[in-house]
Amino acid sequence: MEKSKINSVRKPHRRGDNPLSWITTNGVKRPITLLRRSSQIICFSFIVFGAFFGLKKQNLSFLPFIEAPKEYEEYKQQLKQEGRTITLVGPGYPQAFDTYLPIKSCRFLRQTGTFRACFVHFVSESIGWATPLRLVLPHILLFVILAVLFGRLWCGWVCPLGFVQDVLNTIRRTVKLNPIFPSQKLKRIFKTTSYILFISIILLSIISVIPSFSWSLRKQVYLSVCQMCPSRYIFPYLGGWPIVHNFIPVGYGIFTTISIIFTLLLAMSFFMKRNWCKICPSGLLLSFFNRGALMNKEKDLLKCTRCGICLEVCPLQNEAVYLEKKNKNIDYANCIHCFRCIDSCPENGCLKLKFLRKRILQSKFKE
Amino acid sequence: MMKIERRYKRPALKREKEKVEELFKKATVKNLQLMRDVPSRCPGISYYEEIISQETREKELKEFSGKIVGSFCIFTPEELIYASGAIPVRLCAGFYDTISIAEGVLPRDICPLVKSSFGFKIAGCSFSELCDVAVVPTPCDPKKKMAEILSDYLPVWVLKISHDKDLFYSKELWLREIKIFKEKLENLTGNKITRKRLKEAIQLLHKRQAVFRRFHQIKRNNPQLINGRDTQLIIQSSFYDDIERWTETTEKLCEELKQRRINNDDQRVKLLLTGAPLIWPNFKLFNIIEQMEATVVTDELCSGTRHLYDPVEVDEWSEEGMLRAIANRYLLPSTCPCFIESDDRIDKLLQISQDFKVDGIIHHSLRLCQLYDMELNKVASVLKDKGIPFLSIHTDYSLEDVEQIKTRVEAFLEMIKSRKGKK
Repeated sequence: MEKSKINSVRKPHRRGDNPLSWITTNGVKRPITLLRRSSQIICFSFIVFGAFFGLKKQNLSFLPFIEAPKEYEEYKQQLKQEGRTITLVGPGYPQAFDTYLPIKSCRFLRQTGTFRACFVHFVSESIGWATPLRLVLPHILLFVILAVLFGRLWCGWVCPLGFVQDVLNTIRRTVKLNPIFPSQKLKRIFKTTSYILFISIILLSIISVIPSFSWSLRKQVYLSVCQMCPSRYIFPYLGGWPIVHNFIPVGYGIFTTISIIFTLLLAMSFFMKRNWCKICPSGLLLSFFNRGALMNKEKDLLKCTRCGICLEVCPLQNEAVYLEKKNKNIDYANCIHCFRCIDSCPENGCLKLKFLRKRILQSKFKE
Repeated sequence: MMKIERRYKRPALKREKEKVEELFKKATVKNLQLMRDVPSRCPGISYYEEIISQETREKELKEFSGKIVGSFCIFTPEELIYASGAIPVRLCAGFYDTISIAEGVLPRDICPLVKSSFGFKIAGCSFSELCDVAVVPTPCDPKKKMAEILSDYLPVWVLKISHDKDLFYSKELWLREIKIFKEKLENLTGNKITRKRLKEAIQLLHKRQAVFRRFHQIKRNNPQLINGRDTQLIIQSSFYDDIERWTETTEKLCEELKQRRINNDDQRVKLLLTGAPLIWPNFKLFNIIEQMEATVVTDELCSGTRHLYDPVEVDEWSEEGMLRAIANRYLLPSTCPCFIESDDRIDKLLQISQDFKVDGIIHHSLRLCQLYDMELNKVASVLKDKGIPFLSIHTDYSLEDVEQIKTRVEAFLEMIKSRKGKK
């Protein structure tokens, strides 16, 4: 009697079943994308408008608060006198959590934001402030854990800046405009730019900490990553803060110009999907963990008919998933784990998502 | 569009319509009779038998007021034809007796499929007589040159295929070809292919593909539910049939098959057939195999599963997006030997043989079809490495070598059985 009861409660899980069949049966063609969009909306409102949901400043004991050295506090006062408010966020940071996520959780959001800043900001900041390793290490550890667990899943499912680009692209889709597909050459240019940007960020942070350079030079390259970032315009706009930028002195001028160019590039993701993600330094940092991450994609090499739909739907036009016929592991550096390829692959069980070798999602032909 | 006029015409030909029609009827009846002589045959096949014998469908098409577009390969994008309000009909033929008629115009040493299909047009019967235009993709040389010769009797549109699908610009070229094809269709029918119509057509064909995949799945789970020959009959009747009616009927058939219960243990040898197309009424090889203790569980033929298997998967429902999807579907997953690389085809063969748990693979190479012959060696060596029994049969449409093939297939089956017994 007891045995039959157990049987009735725990239905045997059949191997061929799609875990997402409960959505697909209701006529949804792209169930994973639906899930992803919901996740993006939730994360976006949480990260960008956290304060509106009553999130107050928390004291997280396991992560140390990183304070700016005295020199920079004086610099902030100086900026205040100059009338520049952009980098000035008062004593300490007003955001709820003193955590650096591997996504664009931006400091320009000020009181409305939930997290202190993105991880690239942290890298630049801790180098620029010469913060002791004792304080830095827990943050790095957190980043490494998050990156090793999920790889670039952060870009596809959580990042608010990615969501902004996806919204732009969705608008284009609904008005039935044609997308622009980048050529091979353009893709190479994007890749080189991303490396150059990342290396220059590190170099500029190092310059800003070397005492032998004059202070007037050091203050110009201070936190150059944030000065160049397109979120500088987008997040204050979304959060309702004034957008402030300076063109004088020359250093500010150069970085502001670059940031305007990057913002235009981001706006171009209306036509070319996820443009900023192709050069984003946070994404580049995460991409080093993409291949060894615990979350990985696999392809059944024989089942693949190379119909090319995975290439067609890929926001970063990653050709590797489509071309791969030798290695079943298909995690590539520039994959943002949006799983659109899994979602639209018409071969049952050809593309799979695995976490700790356990299958979570798999492709299925939708009637 | 300016077009250079043909300067040299060919002489008119004598037509032997009645004779060919009679012979075709005979061949059809003979084949159908052979297929009926099977114990516990699946019910519900009579509908497809009627379609494949062409008479009823020809009458229907004669009454159809719109345009009829004849197509020659699986490369012809049917979605566009349906969207323009026309009906596609596949003109590839497997009939022996039209070959000698076609040889008055075509050389002897080319593929019998081309000669046979062309013969129907010369004889002036079957669907080729009803077509307003013929679409000829160019996978191989005989088809390409046939397009020129056929254009003396019928307007012909050529779809040029680039033979390296991995090259980045072949997709662009093919897309351009598809767009030109769309324009031509619009001019022919006078209907503009709007986004809405194209979407409807894509969904219509997607439905058909979905139903076929369901059928495929049922057959995979229990191959003894339906014969290989009957499966081919069902697939090949979709070349001519009204698409909605075919989809409905096949959907019903799927339901029936699910209900069907067969208790006796199936001892037949499961075979996979690959290679050159076997088109009605050239069911010689199927008949030989299935008259023995063997069955064709699945195939990798462009006249078979490949015609219906791949769906059009659209990412964006803009006009450009749909055209891209159509172009991709017809070019990229194709395993036609006309492409430079044959690795995809071998992958597919291995996948199907795993999926259907086949006991052996038979390669049908049509005499004078060089492309399949060229690939044969590589395919055979890979399959040998994987330990899958493999037999290559070299034949054409004539019935002269039936006994000879029978002996070879018999020996092959014996070999498989003894291997099975050892295990």
